[in-house]
Amino acid sequence: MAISSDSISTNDVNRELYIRNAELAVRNKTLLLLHVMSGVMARALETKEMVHDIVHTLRQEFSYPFVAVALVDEKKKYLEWKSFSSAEKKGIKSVRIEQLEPISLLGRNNICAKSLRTNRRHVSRNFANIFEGIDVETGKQFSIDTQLKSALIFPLTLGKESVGILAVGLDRSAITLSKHERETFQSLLGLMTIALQKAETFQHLQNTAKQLRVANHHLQELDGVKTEFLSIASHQLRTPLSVLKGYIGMLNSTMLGPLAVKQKDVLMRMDSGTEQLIMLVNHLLDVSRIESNRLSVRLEPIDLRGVLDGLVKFLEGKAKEKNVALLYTVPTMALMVNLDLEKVKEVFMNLLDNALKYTDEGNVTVTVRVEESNVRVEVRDTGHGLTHEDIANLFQKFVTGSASKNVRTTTGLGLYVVKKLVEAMHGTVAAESEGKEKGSRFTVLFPLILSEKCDENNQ
Amino acid sequence: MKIFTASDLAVKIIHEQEAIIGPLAWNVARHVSGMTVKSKDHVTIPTSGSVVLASLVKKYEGLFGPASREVCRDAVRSMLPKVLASDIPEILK
Repeated sequence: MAISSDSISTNDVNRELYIRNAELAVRNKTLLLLHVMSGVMARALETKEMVHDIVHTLRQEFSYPFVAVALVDEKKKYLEWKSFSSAEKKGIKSVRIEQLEPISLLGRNNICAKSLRTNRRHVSRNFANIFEGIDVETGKQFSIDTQLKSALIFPLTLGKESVGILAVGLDRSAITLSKHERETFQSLLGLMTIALQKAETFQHLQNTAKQLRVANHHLQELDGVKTEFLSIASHQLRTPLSVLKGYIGMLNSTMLGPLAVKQKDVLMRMDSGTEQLIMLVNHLLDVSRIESNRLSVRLEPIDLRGVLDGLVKFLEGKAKEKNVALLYTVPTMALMVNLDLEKVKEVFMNLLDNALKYTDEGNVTVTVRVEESNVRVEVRDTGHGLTHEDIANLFQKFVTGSASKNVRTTTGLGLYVVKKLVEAMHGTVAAESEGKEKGSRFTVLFPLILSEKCDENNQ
Repeated sequence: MKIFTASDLAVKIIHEQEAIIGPLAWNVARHVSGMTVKSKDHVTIPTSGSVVLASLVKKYEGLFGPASREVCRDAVRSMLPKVLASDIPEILK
């Protein structure tokens, strides 16, 4: 087949392919540099660190006399230099960043301020137009040392807002930028704005975290003050309440003379009210001790049976008054546990008192068993029961169960105190219920220090 | 401050051409008289730097056209302020 004279020669194809390859080579080089830059930006979180790395990488890649970045300050009045990298003469820099003064955004003669205001690229051939705070002689010396001929100022924008400038010094005319340089700047400015946005978000997060830390510290101080107040107030209340309780007891026992039926009724109500107040004050004192880490327990070997025997006997009268059967099952052997006598009494007093309070009919059963190396005390009632939600929140402060509407005396602190006291004595406490009106079961486990195998006897 | 020699410019030009046409760039350079290619970073031009550089650029231009001359000029542009004027051929200015 003959080739016509106007057909494309191999030489032409060769040249065309060269042009395409040259374009690809520039793109490849630019992408490689941008890849390095994006790595720098991804690694750095703080603005200063990130800007410093960008400026350094850019100056090294193209051997520019200088590269610098200035960002608008918080009050949006000045451009502040964040990084300045320049060529060194025998290891000595003739200009250092500390010498560069902030540039007023209103400055008419400064090319950086102008670039920011107009949001356009500017070229300068005068060092004095770019930096402020550098005297004429130093500027001249710097230009000689680095062979500075011109400088390019690029605005950095976030959305529509100009946030800073990138200044690049050249040892030639600004119109001689290579294709690689032009493509690099075009893409780099976009990358830098994204990175600046990331750094700004990071800075905001840092500030917010700092504010939260301060607020948290303040809250902890307030909480301490509240606990202290509770402790003082409770102590001040307990003494007069004890006096009141004593006099009511004296009146009730007719030590101070006989009482009419109506008077007895009023006195009974007063007694119940005083008891409720004493309970509340005691709970508040416990809470304040727990929260200020002043809760101390003095553990000593105690036979748990003795504690429970005494409490059950003490509450028999109350159960009888409510017409509720109080059943008690306990092994005959000694159940030695390391406990604080006063604290363990408080725990079971709370649980038994609660069981009686929330049971209108039926019975309250206290069952004590030895299970492996633990003693298990179960307080079961046929009362109002608990919902799943009740169980989930039961041991928290100031939380009362759904059944609390059925009783008059509840502080919402009893079970919180019980849990903290049991845990302080190395035990556990848990609540179970099959639901509303289906009774509830509270189980306390303590590690035994001595056990004898014995059959259980009903008492 | 570092002063670049004609050899430095030649290495830069060959590397830049290599990025576009591959190892052929070195084969072309080996055929330039007055220049010895010892390794990828070691090129010697004992005398007449300006003449040898001009003939290197012309070799590429002859094969790949004016675009290759522009690539050579772009490659050394940032180095020129630091090269002795006598080592810079007209074709690279």
